[in-house]
Amino acid sequence: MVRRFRGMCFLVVLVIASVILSSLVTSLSYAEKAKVTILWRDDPDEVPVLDEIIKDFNSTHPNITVEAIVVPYDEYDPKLFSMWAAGTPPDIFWCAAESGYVDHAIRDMNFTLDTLVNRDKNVINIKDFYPAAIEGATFRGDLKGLPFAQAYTAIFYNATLFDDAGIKYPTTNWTDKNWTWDKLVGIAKKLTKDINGDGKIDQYGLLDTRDLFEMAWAWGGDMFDPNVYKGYPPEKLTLDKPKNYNALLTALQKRVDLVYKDKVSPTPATQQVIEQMGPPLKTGRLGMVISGDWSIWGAMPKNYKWGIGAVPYSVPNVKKVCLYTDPLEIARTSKHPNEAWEFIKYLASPSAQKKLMEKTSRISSRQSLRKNYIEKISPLMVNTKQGLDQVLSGAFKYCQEDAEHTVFGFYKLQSVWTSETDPLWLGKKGVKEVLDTMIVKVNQAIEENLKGIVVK
Amino acid sequence: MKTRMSPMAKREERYFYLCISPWIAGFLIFTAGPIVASLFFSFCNYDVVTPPDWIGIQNYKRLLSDPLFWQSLKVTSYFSLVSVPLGIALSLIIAILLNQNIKGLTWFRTIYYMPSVISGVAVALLWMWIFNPEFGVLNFLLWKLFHIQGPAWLMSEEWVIPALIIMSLWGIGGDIVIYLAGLQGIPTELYEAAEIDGANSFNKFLNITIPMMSPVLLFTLIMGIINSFQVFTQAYVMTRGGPHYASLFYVLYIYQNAFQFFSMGYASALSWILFLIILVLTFLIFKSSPLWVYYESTRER
Repeated sequence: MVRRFRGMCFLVVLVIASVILSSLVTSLSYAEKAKVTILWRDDPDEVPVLDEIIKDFNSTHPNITVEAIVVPYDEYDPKLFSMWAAGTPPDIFWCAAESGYVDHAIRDMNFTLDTLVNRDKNVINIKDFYPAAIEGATFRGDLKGLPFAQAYTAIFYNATLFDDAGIKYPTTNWTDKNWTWDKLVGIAKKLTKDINGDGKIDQYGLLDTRDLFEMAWAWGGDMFDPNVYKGYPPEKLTLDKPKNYNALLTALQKRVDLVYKDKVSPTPATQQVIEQMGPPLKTGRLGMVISGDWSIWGAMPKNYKWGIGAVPYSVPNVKKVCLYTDPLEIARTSKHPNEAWEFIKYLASPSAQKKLMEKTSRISSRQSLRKNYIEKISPLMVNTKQGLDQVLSGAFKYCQEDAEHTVFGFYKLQSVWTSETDPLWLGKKGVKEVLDTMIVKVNQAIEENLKGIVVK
Repeated sequence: MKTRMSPMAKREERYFYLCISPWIAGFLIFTAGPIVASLFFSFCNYDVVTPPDWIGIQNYKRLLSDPLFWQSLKVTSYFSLVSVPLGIALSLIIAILLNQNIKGLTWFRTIYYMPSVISGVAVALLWMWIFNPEFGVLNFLLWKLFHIQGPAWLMSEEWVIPALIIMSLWGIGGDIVIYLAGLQGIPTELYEAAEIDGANSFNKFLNITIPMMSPVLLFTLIMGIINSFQVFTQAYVMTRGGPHYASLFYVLYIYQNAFQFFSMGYASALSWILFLIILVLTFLIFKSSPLWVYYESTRER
């Protein structure tokens, strides 16, 4: 019996020892090869191309092995933060989910890349990137990531519905003074229809998906101080200034009017139904959508014709829309920052970006590839190539980087104002009442965010 | 009195510890460790990536003055208070109906149990369609059958919790199976004796079925309360806590703080409060159980 017990103990020790030994052997064999991990979201279009790019990179860089860790969108931030807490951060990551590069920078999670960009300026050619994209990766003057893709804001429309209603397509000229909010609503009214005559609207003219800070921009105001967008944590909303307050008040009223007065936009309930059918524009039940270009990502249904137009003036001489930049960041605690940089350079190179752009719907951060993007999407669109070029010029000119990326603790603030404005969209409360409470609540959240910055 | 262990018993004891050692190791590393760590974090300002900074009881202080903490507690208690008794009553009634000598019992049992095996997210997506105020099947039926204009359900501050309670009844199949097993274990002679004494069905139900089922009811009550305090999936997938915080369940609020706002310290404090709440509730129910739970084997009441 005793011998058998000893035998069993021996067996247990043997198993443990062999596990340790085998992992040692594997890590030793990797020792001369630097392993670089990159955290990505499980986008079905992006992942295969990324894999292809990684494969090419690995075969041309014998000393580096890049490995992608792919997680669902909702788990991207928890994964990033928990890998960090465990002391094994991904070497490369980006703002694929809710936290932005500023959130990362304030927690000292990413390297400043200026020195590396300068060292390799001949390879990188930073001038080729959209200036707005570089600004959308800059934290208090330091470059914190190298952009690999963009999303831009415009009006995306179903041209077939325009043809059916006999209306001219929206202009592609961003500086057309006649292209105003009222004109847009007028067109939307003509596109809103009860097709089967059951008294319910089946086809809506317009869906404006812009967030509150974008609405404030469009109506000539701002929810934050200019410094906040440079990476300094907000101390309060700037809505105590009458100009900003009135801009957002008007914007909210106009948005509510779309649903309850002009009746050209779906109610939240109808919108939910439309969204369950797929991306809203593609369902064919909407005439126009103001949103990021994700409205035209992926395959477009062939039974409709599509088009892109400029966002109108909400107030004269004011035009600012959102640009979304995806900069690749290197983890501050990475064991192989130089190898990670090699891969980022590769991914941001014209050839890799071209590949990424051709196989996904993303537009490259490189200006030199805009013509390729236009070549790619023009067969799907009613616009001329010049028209598309005009839309893109404006979208990258009258833009500012997404506040989700540039404002510290943005996600918490957004979730507060989203909840606080629920009664507004449901038609339960008035605009002023909702806005006044919202300001107080968001300011409280800002204070909590400030307290949450861990003092080192 | 302590007795000396025989050598054989000693050996067996050693084997026992050796064989359960993987479980003990797993428990210490993956369960006990994080629990202790979360207690520590609950006294810290901790954003997951920066080392935690000790701030004493500030997280607990903040919690008391946080309207969303109270809101989430209110929402969760409301849900728990209605959904648990309702679920128990309904599943007991269905179990009793299924316990009659009817043809095709196994079929019915399967049908009622089936919804319980479908994963939470799929169920949530399905019910989003059912509850849609304008195109959902529920409001359609309400209108067609009773000419009632149904509420906005998930999009109404007043109706979102009732809607989620109705949805929670979808999962009572598990309880039905447990009750059915319990019912089938009640000796028939008890009912026969009662019948001879002239008891009607209601008397039999009240004086035989309920007492004999009370240990099972105790179990489902405790599990029901624990589960209802941990509601997450429905709220996360269907409402994201809205509209206007009306479905901000406690665990959803913990999740938001931990993984979306990265206030891990505050989330840990919230978790410990939840743990204490569940502990106290379970303790109270256990303490009250001698008053209403009848164990056949102990014969004391």
